[in-house]
Amino acid sequence: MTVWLKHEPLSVDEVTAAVAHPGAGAVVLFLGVVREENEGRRVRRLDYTAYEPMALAEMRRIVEGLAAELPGVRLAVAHRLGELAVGDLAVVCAASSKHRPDAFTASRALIDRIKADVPIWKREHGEDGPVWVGWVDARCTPEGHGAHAHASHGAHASHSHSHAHEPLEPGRAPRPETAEAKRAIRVVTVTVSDTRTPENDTSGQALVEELSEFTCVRRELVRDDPEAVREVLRRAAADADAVVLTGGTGIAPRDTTFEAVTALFDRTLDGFGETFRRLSWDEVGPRAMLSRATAGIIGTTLVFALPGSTNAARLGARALVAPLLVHAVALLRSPPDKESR
Amino acid sequence: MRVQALFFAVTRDLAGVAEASVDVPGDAPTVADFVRAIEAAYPGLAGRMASVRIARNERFASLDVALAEGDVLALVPPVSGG
Repeated sequence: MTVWLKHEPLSVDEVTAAVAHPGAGAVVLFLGVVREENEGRRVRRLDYTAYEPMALAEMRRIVEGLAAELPGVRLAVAHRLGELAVGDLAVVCAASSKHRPDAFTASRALIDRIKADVPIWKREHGEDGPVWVGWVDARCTPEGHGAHAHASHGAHASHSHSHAHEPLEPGRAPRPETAEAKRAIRVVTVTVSDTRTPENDTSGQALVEELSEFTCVRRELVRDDPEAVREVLRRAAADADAVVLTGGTGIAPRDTTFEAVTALFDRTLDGFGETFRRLSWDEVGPRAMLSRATAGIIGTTLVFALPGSTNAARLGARALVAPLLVHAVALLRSPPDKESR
Repeated sequence: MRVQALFFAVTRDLAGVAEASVDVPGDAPTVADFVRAIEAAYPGLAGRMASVRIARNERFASLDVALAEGDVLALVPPVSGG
């Protein structure tokens, strides 16, 4: 098991050789390469810096942890530091195993965990000046700042910074939900309303308060217009682990949040709407059935649409969304191929 | 209690320093007390620590972990390796 931080160009051969052995019938490589654009901005170069002793220690912990979870797998990783240009190799991950499923699983988990936990940062230099990739101001105000949350290469764009890796082996107890794991989850709230303003957006405020243990990266306010809602949701889903909307889930003609969000869902969580209606039955009886609260998944982002009343937003965020986020986000981030092992 | 603080990436820009000796008040201070001391000492970081993790002696530490004299505490803003 070998890990490197290098200030000179990486060698794919060197990393590959570190995992090769006569019993390995499969070697899987992941190469992270500097891409020419990020979120529509042209990238000229990237500067990588690290907390080097901890980065090496963390890479070792990740590699050893994966080797313990997947016996027989060998892993190696080299990460580049310093100034990189478009096309340069930023990271090389290698995993070998007797048969290919474990090597695929291990290499995917290796890069995901490196991107989540190793203290390495890139500063992106483009046409509008330098940007620390991944940094968004933690202060949550309506119509907040744009987020630059994406990795600048073709790799899986995980903006996680959580320790809550889902174990690769079944039957292991989930880790307790630490304050840190909650803080590592990025949330965007969206108030859908024709009449609310940042000053009187009490339901948006309720969401922010109920989800305060998580990191609220942005608070949005958008009118009841399906195309506007879809546009805000697309952007929010790119920047966050979870998007929580309030408003527009009723049956009035202007209530179109359900149509807007479900059109973007890759997968639907039917249980969310039913559970919400079950809860609100206790408060409003049969009128609960007039709520089209819903939830789903876009890519690896959870999306929850709650009604616009302040009480309903508070209830849904407190009773349903907050208790679910750490576990659900960990599941969405877990590597595929579990079933093939 | 005196500890050493290390600032990386955006937190280094916002604090204007790479490292500092920081006095954390209290009888049995924790990582959370360190974060409060940092926010008080560096206005550029005040209110901006929610997404910054703390590493204690090169390992991530949660907010309730107790500090020891001479600990090295690093401010780790969202990482972006890979």
